[in-house]
Amino acid sequence: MAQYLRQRITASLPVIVGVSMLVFLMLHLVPGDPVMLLLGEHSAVDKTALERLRATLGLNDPLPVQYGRFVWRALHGDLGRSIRLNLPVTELVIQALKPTASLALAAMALAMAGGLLLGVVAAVHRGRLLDNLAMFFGLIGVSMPSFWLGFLLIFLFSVRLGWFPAIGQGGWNRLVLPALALSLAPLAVLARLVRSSMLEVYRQPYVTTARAKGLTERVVVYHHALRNALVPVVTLVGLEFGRLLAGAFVIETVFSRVGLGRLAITGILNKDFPVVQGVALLVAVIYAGINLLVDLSYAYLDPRVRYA
Amino acid sequence: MHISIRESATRNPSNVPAIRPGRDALRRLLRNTGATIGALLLLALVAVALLAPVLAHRDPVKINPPDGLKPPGKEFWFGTDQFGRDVYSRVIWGARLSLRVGVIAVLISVGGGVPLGLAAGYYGGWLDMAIMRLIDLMLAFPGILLALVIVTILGPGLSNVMLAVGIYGIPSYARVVRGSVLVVRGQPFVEAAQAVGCPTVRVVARHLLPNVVAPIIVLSSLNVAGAILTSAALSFLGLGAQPPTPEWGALLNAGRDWVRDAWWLTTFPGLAIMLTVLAINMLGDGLRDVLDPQLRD
Repeated sequence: MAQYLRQRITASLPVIVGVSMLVFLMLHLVPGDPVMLLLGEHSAVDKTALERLRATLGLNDPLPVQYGRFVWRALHGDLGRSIRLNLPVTELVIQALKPTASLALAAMALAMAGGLLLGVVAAVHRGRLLDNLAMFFGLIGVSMPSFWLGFLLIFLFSVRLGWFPAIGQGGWNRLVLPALALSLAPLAVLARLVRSSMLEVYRQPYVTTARAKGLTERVVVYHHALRNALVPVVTLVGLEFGRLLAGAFVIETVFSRVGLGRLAITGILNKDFPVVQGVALLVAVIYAGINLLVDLSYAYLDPRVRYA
Repeated sequence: MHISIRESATRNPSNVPAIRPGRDALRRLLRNTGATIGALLLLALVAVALLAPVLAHRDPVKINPPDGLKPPGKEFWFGTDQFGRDVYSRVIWGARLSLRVGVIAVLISVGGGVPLGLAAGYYGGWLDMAIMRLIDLMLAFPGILLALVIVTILGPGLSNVMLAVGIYGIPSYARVVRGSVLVVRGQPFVEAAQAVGCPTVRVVARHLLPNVVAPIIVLSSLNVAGAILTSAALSFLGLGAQPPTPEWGALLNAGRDWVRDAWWLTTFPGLAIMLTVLAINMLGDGLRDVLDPQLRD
């Protein structure tokens, strides 16, 4: 297992290096002078001041040197300063991470619970009404824009019924509607995967043996089939969690929540590049970490993976 | 009577049913209820988009404040927005934009991903490794984040969103095409073509490409839906179509401050997006079952 862990960490490193390069180059790929981009609205300064600033920021150095400095600072927790807010990006990003992570985790919990239930029900009742209903719900789930679902939930549960607050954050009741809106798409994807995975496992000889031993259908489904059907699901959960982090960007706008998404979108619209770089780098590194954890759990659940 | 095999095989060719893979696939597709419903719905939506000047009886961008925020009724079927613009006309014209954005974004993805996948799969070696590391890098940004990074570089606007969504879709094509090419590359007919001295371009275009078309069609049909959703999300965030352009995502963005008082501003554009994506997904699922069952979950 330790060797497998080493192999996977080594494999993740080039991706993280590549991500850091792309994020660093973002500022240099944008048409125009990086100093003018960094100055933004306050760009009415004379040429000498611009040159001085360029030298202070190290923008006259060759790109590899600038990249090395960017990585060194990032490793020490320094992601630069926000142009608009004049605050350290690291501070802004860490403040915004908590609400986004709690939203993504709540949505993931809902998606897993709903997806497992729907997938198992569909597989157990294969070809019957419940299966068709569950799969149609799954199709609707992947087709419905999460931001539109957010509006529908606000209209129904907040405006009409008054059960939950429409916007803002703080307290679980402000988390319910955004988490529901965010969870539908991964729930639908998980339900479809659990169903197909369960049907695959149903064909295995050990399920037939379990039935032949006279075990109840409940034990066969939950003890023998579901446990083995969950192995491929674990991979999808990791991928979907990454998508949820990014999906939270849109939902935060719908529910006027503060978080990484709002921070990034405001950064893009205000050309606050250090903030966008900070968010992109953080989310990509978190995503790489999740993928690593998924691979490790996969190896833990299925010994064939680590001995392959 | 003795008939040789050769004779019996050539005697009456009209009695032998011809193998027509295209027609067979179409027949199987038409037998798939979901795909048929999806195709009909999509045809209807395309017709709506093409006939927008006829179907939308009001100017989608003309402001008329006295008619502001009227609920759906006989005069304004889908109501009006705060500027008195007819939501029905805006949604109908939005079909043109949203469908075009989805199709163009997928064409960009195909144009970028297919050559990359073909090159990686056919040549292998360092080129394969370099291309696949580039794909890994693109996949390192989850969900909409890569499109956001690209929009940051290119700047907001509908054309840039199309390009961003197109680039965002490249990895899926590169991977699928590479995988298919790796399977086909070792087949005797490809080796035979190489052995008789076929130029690489001809081997790729005449022997490899036709064999990877099915997964490309399946993926494209499903990706158009994803591209429409992603573009709408970016427009909703204010990074795509700008007011007063009647793009569905932008319409949802414009209506988001009126959810309490004017539900119709967000309901109809959202419904339009969902119906379009649903239709494409249903057709895409059917196409996958018919053309490439291996891609199924």
